[in-house]
Amino acid sequence: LTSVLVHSGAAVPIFADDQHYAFRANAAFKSWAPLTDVPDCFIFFEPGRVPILLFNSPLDFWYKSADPPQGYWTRHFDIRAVAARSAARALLPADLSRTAFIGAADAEISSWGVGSVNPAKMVAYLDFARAVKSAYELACLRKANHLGARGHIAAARCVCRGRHGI
Amino acid sequence: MPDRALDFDTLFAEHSEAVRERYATRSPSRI
Repeated sequence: LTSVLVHSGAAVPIFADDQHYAFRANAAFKSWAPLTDVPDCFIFFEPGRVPILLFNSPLDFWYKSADPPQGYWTRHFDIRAVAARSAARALLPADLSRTAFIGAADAEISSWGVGSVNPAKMVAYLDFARAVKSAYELACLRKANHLGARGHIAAARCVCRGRHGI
Repeated sequence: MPDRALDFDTLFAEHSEAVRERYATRSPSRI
């Protein structure tokens, strides 16, 4: 194996409906990039090369695509917008037989010819590494808790003032 | 002393390098 393909995940449709359940990117993908709410994004990485981020931006009459990513982290990726999974596949090497796929591989992805899907040793190593948070991840946790605490304090004040609406 | 915790640009650069190194040194090459 010489490269890895990490999937953000797939949107799960609601039975007999035209909507999907709320999407959450999987943890292995989020450790690469703070892109948490866009399904069918991929990161392709070969050691020594800039990772490629295939950003899912479908053309759709009914649904607005996610805006292209911006911010402090985007310069670390070669970002390419793709309108469909087939377009993502076309931008990847034709031969993926030496590529490890990380994510929930459905039938379509399984047909891409990846060499290995979630190899156990690799996933165990990566999961273990994620248990130790980087300084960046700690900063994110602190910021998130700061924002969350503001909400809790605001809610507590409302309850104390009898505005809880119960 | 500046609040380094809010310098997400620098912090992410370090994080990104660590993630790439994590994949490069252990996986997939040594599996």
